Amino acid sequence: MENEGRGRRRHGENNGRRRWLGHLLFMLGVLAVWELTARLSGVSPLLLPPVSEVAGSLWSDLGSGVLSRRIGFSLLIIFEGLALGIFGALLLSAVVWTSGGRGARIVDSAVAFLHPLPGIALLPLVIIWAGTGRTAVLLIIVHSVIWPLTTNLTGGIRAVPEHLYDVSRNYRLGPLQTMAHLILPSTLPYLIAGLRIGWARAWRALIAAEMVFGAAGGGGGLGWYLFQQRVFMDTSGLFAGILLIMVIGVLCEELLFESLERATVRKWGMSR
Amino acid sequence: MREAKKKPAIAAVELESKAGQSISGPPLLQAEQVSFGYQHRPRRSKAALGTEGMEDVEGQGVEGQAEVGRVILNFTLSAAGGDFIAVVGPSGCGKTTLLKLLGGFLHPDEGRVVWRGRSIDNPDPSRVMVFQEFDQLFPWKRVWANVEFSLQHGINAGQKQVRMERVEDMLQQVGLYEARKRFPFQLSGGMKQRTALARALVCRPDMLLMDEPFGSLDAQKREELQELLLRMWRQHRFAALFVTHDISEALFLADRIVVLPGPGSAEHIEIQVNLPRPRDRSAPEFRTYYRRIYGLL
Repeated sequence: MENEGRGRRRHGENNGRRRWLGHLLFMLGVLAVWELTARLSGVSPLLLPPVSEVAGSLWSDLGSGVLSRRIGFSLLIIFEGLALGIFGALLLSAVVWTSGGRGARIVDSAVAFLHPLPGIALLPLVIIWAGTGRTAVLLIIVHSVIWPLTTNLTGGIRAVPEHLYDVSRNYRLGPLQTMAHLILPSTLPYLIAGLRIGWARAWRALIAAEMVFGAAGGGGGLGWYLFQQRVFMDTSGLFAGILLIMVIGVLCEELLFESLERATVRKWGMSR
Repeated sequence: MREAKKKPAIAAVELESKAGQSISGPPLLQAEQVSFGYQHRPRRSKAALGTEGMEDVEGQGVEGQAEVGRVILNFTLSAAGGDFIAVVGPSGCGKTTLLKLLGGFLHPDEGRVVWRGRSIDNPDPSRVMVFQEFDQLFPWKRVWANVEFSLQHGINAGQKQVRMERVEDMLQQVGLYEARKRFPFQLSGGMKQRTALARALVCRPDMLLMDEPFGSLDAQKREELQELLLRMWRQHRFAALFVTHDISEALFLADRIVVLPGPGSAEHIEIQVNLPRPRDRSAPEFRTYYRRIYGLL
């Protein structure tokens, strides 16, 4: 059965490799169709620049450090927002867990109302409250992350097997120990699923917010880069930005969440 | 076997309307007139309800109790150290509820549960519960870590090295040493229950409360684990309270069998099992006991 475990892990690795290959082939296919369309259809390169041109501006902007600064800015702020969102969601879930009925109903209502509200809809208000600086973008990101994460976490807490609670009570675990040794690990699959949703929402909200805020507060991220390229009618730069946003999204998903899942819940047989 | 042959088997079946007459030592656990029912309890949160509301709801609660009836009614039992008691009864008769009451997981509506002369109000590592369900193991802990858990939290078992020695010794005893590095999902059902047993026994409890622990296993595995349980019982001399719906399992394991009839209807009956160990399931005396208990259910 030792082998069974290993076999399953190897199977997982194969799956991962196949997924990567799939992603790569898909992208190459899209790029090929795009290149052909752009070259053969005679559409103005201002509307649809060929891939080679997009690659060129990608290369030069990456080389000059403009793009890498923009990427760095966006990633830094999104991870900050994710961290704050996770912290907030954990806090809210802890409230739900400790307070039982009433606290849970309040948090449930809060989630029910705020979850469907797109971050971008809050933007005008956030600008009035917090200006157009970094704080405002952070607020939007936290808003996009915290609600799906809280929904998932509270769902996860409700799904903790009752017998594990009994076992923890039997060995006299206090509330904090129960949280650390039971609730947190057993809600991890839900936490990761929530992070995936939260991450995708935050990434969209961030780009949107940056396009509205521009570079205020210094720096400016990928959204700001897109905005600039539009102003300068630099279509190939625009495409380069869009490509980057997608690629970074996929990379985060695959590298961060996939490997986190593989190292934890999938290794424990809690999800496949 | 020789002893049993001297007397007619039926005579060996002693019916006792009241428990606690055949104690082999000072009582460890006593249930005194314990009653319990899962009615819709009055809400205790004063902030959620007005004071008037409180009175209303509490009034209803008392009525509700009478209507719903009891899962456990006037249950009395006395267990001494080293006793092996089985509780049998049809499904839904409140066996699990009873075990939870005796373990301190639930509180009786009436009567009390006494442990070493003091009322129980919480579960304690000196009385460890083992469940039927396989999800009683922590999926994220390897077998050894699942077993170590009770030493880390339940009792103060000292340094890591000391703990690990005890864990590995226990894993040898239940035959899981080779599998100690697996995660629960890589174990068969029998191995999972062995792990749960090892986790319970490694902190040397005075009493083991078992809720149909082998109920989800195939017949062969079940018998294997019954033998293992008896081996561990002889070696560690804990008291065992074993809930099951399987009469022959109860007869194979226990010295005393408490028969719970349907939900809250008649009184429970305690039967002394005077069969020599190791028990032989095909012995005529065994069958006689079987039919006797079957008739009571």
